[in-house]
Amino acid sequence: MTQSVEPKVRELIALVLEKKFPAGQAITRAKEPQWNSLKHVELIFALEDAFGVRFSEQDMVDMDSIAAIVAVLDRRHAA
Amino acid sequence: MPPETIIPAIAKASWQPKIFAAAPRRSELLALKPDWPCHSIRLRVHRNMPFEFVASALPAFLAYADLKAEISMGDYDDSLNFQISEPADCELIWLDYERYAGKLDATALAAWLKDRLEVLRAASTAPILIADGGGDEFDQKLSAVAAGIPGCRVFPRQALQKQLGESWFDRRVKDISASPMSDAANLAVAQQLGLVWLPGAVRVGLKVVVLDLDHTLYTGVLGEDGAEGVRLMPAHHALQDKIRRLAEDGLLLALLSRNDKTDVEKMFATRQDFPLRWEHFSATAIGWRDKSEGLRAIATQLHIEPDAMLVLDDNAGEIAALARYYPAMPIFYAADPELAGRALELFPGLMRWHHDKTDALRARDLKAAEMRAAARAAMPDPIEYIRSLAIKLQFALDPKSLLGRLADLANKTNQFNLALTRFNEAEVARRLDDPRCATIAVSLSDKLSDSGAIAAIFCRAGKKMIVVDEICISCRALGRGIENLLVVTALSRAREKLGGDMIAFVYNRGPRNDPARQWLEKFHGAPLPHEQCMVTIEWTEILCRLPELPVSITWEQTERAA
Repeated sequence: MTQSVEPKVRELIALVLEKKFPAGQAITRAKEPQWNSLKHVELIFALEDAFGVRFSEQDMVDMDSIAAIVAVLDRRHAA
Repeated sequence: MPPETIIPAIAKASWQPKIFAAAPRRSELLALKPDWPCHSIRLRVHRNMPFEFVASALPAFLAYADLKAEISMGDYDDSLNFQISEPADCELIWLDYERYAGKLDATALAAWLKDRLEVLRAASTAPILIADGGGDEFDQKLSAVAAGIPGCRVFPRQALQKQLGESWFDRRVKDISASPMSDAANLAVAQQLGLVWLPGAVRVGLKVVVLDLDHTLYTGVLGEDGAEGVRLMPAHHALQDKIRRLAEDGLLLALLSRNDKTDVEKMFATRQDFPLRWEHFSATAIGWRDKSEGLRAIATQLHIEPDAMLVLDDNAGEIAALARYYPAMPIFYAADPELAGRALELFPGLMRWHHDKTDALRARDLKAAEMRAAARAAMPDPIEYIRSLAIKLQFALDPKSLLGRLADLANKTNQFNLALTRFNEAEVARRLDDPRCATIAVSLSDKLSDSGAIAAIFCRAGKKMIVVDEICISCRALGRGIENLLVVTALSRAREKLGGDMIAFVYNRGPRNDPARQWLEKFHGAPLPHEQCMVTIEWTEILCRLPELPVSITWEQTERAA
């Protein structure tokens, strides 16, 4: 699952933050200044739409990097 | 034509299901990037809540309307202390009215907003949009307030909220984003703003909807299935119904179809279940010639350029061919009648920014034009022709009741538009209130039709002269030989108000305003020296151009004097 969702997640982060991220590069909220709280919500909206899921408030807090987002999506799909 | 002119229409056809979706999807919209040129506009947002979730979804919708927005969003400000330093193309007021609950009731909130809107109106001439959504009582009061502010309209956020019901809200994100709106709500707002309201605020609207027949207005092929054999599916019925309502709202309809005309007339005569009737069409091009030729024939019949028309056709090949000939003309790929019906509610340029009776008169006036042409051909003496029409011209000085129509004339006339100044509603309103300006509206009727307000003359006082900043005459009023009478009569009242013995006409050449140039050259008695110039004529000379024509002239009592 991780392999299949990661490129789409990367693409959506790039679209929302309007910045390109090379494949394989770690992306974290702490290191991306434009990833503020409003962009975070926008990203949540885009991810929910693209993957057909609805995140919990705790998920939203946890999803602070591409790795964390992929992990949450994996957990959702496994459930 | 270079092949790349096909691209916008084809690309837009592939965007249609996402752009006009009943529930647009953020992940799809973010990925849509136009490969056609878009005109930049500046949108300034005055707000006390996030607009970012709407703003980020706007580009795809705006791009479909050939626009891109530079959006400036001020800090959250409940008090609306407008910070205006740069010009904008549109001002948007985006408020969470819950934040005033317990402090101002509906009446007090509306009164306070009236004051703030007047302040904004004084600081900016750009169209103003203010979102409603403060409850039914407040929204009603807000509509009344907005109606009193020139160039101000209410964005119907509350109606969208009612459509979405509980899914308008997303309580999960309120603590993070300070907005209670769900993404479905943000996207619905972006769709309406980007397709309907922002294009309506900054662009001239469309005037004609051009329709294909087979597989667009019904299922089947008329030439094969016959009038009784083509099937009107529920979605087609709804589509025709929407088109009929657009016609009743003042849009012109035309038919562009590869069929036999007699078959088509018979179909409309026999199919009583069709909401559209033959009489709804102001122009037709039905036959086996190329559709690009048919489209040109429709444009000629209506005196309207193709870029003010929307074509609906189910045939991708026909669309590609039309797009090659008319790259600026909006085209909708109408193979899916349900999507086409939704598109007609949202398509850029279909919403009327101003509503006045002239829109509804247009179709009848065009029918009368055919009878006038026949009368003209049968009557070689132009004076007798004018007398036979029983023409009535009604003039009005600074008529506030015609504010929207005056702005429409300034923006929609292309052929007889002397300076192409394009005053917007707020700019016209300022001139109506300015004692140094005189703005004259002219309404026309004859025994065949009432054309409504067909001309606007915008004057101001210069140094010992009157400057005519703009003369706009609707093409529906041309060809009757009354231009000099109309202009000189209007100027006589402007001169009474402003004084001055010289009249200076501002002229700017545009792509289509040759009729205005030809008139001014004849009026002036010499060719115009430059593409932009000012032509000055003494008033005594102008009086010599006043023809004696058998036309009834009346002046409306000025509203200011009344």
